[in-house]
Amino acid sequence: MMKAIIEQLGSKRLTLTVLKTGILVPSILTILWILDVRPPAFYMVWLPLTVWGIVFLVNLVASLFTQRYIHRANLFFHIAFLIVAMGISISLLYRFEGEAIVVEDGLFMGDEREYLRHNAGQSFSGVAPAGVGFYVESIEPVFWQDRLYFTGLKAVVSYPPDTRSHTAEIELNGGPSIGGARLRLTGYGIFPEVIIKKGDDIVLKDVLRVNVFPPGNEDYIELGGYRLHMRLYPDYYTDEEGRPSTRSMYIKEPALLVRVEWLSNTVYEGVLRQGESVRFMDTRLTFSGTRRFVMVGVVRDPGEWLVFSGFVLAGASLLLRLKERRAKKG
Amino acid sequence: MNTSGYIAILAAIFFMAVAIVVRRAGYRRYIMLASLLSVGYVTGYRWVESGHPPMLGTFEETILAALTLITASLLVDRRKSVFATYMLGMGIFVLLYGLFFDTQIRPLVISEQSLLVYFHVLFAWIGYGLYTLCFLSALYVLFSAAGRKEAMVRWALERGLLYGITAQSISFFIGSYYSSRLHGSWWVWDTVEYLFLISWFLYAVALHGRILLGWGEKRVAGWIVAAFVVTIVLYWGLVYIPWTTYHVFDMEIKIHVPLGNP
Repeated sequence: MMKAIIEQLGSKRLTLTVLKTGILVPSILTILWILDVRPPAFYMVWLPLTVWGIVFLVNLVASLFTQRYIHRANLFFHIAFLIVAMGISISLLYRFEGEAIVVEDGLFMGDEREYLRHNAGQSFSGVAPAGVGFYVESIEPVFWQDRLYFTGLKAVVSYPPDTRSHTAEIELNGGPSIGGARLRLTGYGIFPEVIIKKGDDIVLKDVLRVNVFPPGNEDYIELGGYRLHMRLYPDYYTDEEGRPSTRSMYIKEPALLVRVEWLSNTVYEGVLRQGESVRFMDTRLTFSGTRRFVMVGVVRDPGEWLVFSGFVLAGASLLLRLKERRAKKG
Repeated sequence: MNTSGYIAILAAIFFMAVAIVVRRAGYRRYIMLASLLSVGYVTGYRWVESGHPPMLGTFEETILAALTLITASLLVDRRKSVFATYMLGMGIFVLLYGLFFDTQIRPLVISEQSLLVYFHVLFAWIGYGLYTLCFLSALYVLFSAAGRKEAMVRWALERGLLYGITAQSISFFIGSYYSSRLHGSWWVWDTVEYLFLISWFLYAVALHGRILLGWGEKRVAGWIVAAFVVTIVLYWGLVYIPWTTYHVFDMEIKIHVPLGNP
């Protein structure tokens, strides 16, 4: 009885059926994507994939016993899928991915509050990498023809935060591993730095984390009943029609376009050059400078190396398979 | 691109058209060699001028596709030139098609600046070059009784298919590793990755059907034709009705696709 079940599960016909049905899920997803229809619930993607994946793996394991592999390379190639499946399972259980905004001359200690978002939910302390921390020494973007077209972007960091004895560069497509986590850049931007005084008291002297990059983007903050709308131009000039604009993406002559609203009425609108101030009622706002920032992706994935090991084995097996054919021919 | 580049493209188109007309295998080979040299010149010139291998953007991709088609014809199909006419016809089509796209040289954006990307693309092209050969063989089998007797056709339906799957898989493995560095994950829910799965499974069905169940050439050929057509149609669907994929490299198309910052 058991033998018959295994024979069925590892049969050649089931192998072909599994491969044929494997075409269906990605086909449906592609057509939905082309039609700009997203599956309304994520399980609609995961559920059919998981069911298919289980049948695929069962057939694969059973076929290792029921089918005869003439070429050793074929056997290794199919075993590689099992290794990849183990890697995926471990990743699903223990993978951590987070993203944080870190400004130039800023510190990142890996605390939960520092992350903009992460996938750990309530189990942050169990899954997140503990020792990831660094100081951003400098950020260097390179733009093509002064346009919003990145041909280079790197952040020089030093770590660990207390001694800063090591230096490394993080780029968009790679970076160092710190505290068991891989780092990479996921974004870049510029924040304005302001000083806000009420009377003689300094209310705020800091970087404003507003979304004003790329130039032209408008964002606002609320401040004691006022709403401060702003746009940042890193290399300010006014075009022929008198509109504010930027010559390049580099910070050369920054200016902050400010519009202050009180009860939905505009009480001030103007351009502040670096060091300039504006006063409205008893509040004074000074545009003191700009600060570059990067978005840093933090990934710790204990299953990843298994997946890549599976890929290496599969690739090597395919190449070995071609060699076996030649040897057979010779 | 300057005038010499366009002249070389037109020369390649001219030589390929002549090679289709000329019947004598010896002459034809020399004419094909001339077309290969012309496309080779454009490839080399473009590479030197841009400072990177010409493989990003439809214009550059069509140059590579033509180079692959002519090379495959000369190397794999060199004895009897069974497919030369079709391969060269396709070569002319892709080169003309590429001229409708932006030919301006632009530097690579950061995500494209890696040896891994170059090898990922290279293996993808090798794979699809072989799949094109398999596709033409499959058509020959389906529409001509003589096709099934050709050794070249049998080679394409067996070994060609295996080589194609090998190249496609290696391209995926490299791309996947690079994706883990760029996106933080070896798998990204990108439509081109679904397409990889669809075409990989279609070719895997053809291969396994032949090996495991001893399918006949016509049945295998049917699956190969389906795989090729589905892949091409879906790819064009993605490029011309673009929503979000990281695999569109034409600037004029890319500006309609929100790919994030940077």
